[in-house]
Amino acid sequence: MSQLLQHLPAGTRCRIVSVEGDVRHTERVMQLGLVPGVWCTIVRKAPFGGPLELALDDARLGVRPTRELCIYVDA
Amino acid sequence: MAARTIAVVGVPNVGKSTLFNELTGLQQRVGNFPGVTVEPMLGTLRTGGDELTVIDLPGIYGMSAASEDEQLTIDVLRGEHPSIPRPDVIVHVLSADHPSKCFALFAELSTLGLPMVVVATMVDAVKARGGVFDDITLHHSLGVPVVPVVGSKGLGLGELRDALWSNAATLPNPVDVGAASVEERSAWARAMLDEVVVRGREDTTTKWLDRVMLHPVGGALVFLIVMTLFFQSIFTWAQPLMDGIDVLTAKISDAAAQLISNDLLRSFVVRGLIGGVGSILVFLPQIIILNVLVTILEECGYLARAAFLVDRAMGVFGLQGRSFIPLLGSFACAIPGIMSARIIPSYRDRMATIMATPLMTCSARLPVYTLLISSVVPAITIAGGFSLQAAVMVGLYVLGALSGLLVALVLKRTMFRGAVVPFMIEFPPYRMPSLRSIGVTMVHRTRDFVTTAGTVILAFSVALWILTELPRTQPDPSMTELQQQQYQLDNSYAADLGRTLQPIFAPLGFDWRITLGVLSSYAARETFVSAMGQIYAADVAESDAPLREVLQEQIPLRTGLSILAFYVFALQCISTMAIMKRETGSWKWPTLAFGITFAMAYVASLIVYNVF
Repeated sequence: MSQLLQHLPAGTRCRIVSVEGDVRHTERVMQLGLVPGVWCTIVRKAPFGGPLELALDDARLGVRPTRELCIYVDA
Repeated sequence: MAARTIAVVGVPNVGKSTLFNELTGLQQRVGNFPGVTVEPMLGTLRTGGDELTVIDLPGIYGMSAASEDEQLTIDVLRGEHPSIPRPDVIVHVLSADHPSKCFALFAELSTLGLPMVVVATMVDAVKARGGVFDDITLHHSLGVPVVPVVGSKGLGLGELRDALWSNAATLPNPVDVGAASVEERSAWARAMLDEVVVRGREDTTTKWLDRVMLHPVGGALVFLIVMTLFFQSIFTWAQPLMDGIDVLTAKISDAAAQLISNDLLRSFVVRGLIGGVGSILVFLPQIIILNVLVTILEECGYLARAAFLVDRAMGVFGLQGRSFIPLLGSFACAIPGIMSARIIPSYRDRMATIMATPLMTCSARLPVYTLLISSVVPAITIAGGFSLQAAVMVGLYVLGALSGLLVALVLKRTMFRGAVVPFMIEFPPYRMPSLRSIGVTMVHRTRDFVTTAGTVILAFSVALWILTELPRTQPDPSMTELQQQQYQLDNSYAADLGRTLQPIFAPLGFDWRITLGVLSSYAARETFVSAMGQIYAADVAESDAPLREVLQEQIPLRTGLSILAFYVFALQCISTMAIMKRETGSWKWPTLAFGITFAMAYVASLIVYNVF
């Protein structure tokens, strides 16, 4: 059952299922490495709904999804 | 025949600018202000007897642009840029430490039909952690020369020069997925990574540092410390240099005054030219220090973390983490701030940020604040040891920053309304900045400031001279020199102008002298101090202490605070407006910014004058 990345707790390791929303944002986030099939770890969530710190195999990212950028993952 | 133009291309944070600086050194011609690469810099590479032009292009992730700076790179690479010629060769800089997105970019670059050379950075970092980067396999797979370099140590640079010189760049092997979807390119890139890279141990330094730097509490503390040191060093390190420049300008003025016998010519050279050049140079120390600090923060990887930390807070004002970088720069000068706003991908966010920059307290306001606060605010301590004067100073900074953010918020709710833009940033590994690279950046930023902002300020300084020194008067020779100067000013065009516009400013408590001082600030704010000196006939050549005493008697507290309130808000800088026009492509935005800030300044002064 896939769910939105930001709904998972910090420390979760998950696999990207799909990236949906405005193509300008989805394309960029995939260029940064968040491509379907890739594993990532939610290292930390900034308080008050701030961005997520993510660790990929060969990148560290800060991402704050919005309605225009939905990242669905499998935990 | 050797290639003429070489473009240095790569994803952000691979050490591309460092490589460019190492490669071309001080042989750079055109540049930009801010601590971020936003305009292509041209360098010259001399190998043997021939010259190659090297263009450093802003980092891109692919051939579709998310922001203004990326658009420029893509236009140049496609040969669609109006002024920059299409390069003959691409030097693609990729990081051996984070290669997958670099390979994905390579797949797209390979479709351009240009000969390429691949430069691999951070090979030393991979090896140090026990990993392997197989540049020979990569060379055979891609079909282009692969040169590993360690930019900070200069290793591999000779090989790269030789490769460029001997025209070793070749057309890459066709990549099937070059024009396919981003997912397919990414899959190809990961396969390539598996083929040529054996990953070593994890980069524990970066991981460990990020545990502190990105922590909600620890990170905020580090952030506050970094910001405090940042502002402290700008102001304290710059002060002796600024004083030195002031003394030097005064000395040159005196020497010139003795050499020139013609009264009008002497006045023009001393007040118009030397005074004008001096008022530009006096800001150089702050601009240089700011640029060096921003470059260091960026190169060591901290700026991306800072943007992450402030993203949520900026969200309150409708902005995002990336807006922080231009706003931070604007505390020294709005010009580099506005230019670095190009890194913000969303048009609406970028415009709202640009409109907020003039309200950040730039260094030109500082001399005005210092003079007025020390003149009108009593030197007493409040709340157990805090100096009232210092408290007022801090208050003015906070007021400026908050009002700037509020302007952004209002604009985001009205003219730039739209869906909340997602925030995405890559955290580069922490690394030591290259000293040589910082030095090179410093030298060419200085050159650019003097030529770009300098010419505008100089032109207005000359215009101000014409207004204040013409028409010539014949003061009574028995007057002192200062009285003669005041007599000249009282009968100048500027005085006419001051008296004409006086009724507008009368409700704020400004008399015609203050009005004139405020008007003269519209060329550049810091001229307020010298203008007040002239107007009140106080000698401010060595220091402004005599002027403080005069102002203490002449300006009541409520008027002083009213002037301060005006300076917090008013956009009094022609150079800033010129840059705004250039960056937004229309006079509409600088005009609007001028209007909004004037209204805020006027209302704030009116309130302050009537409350106190």
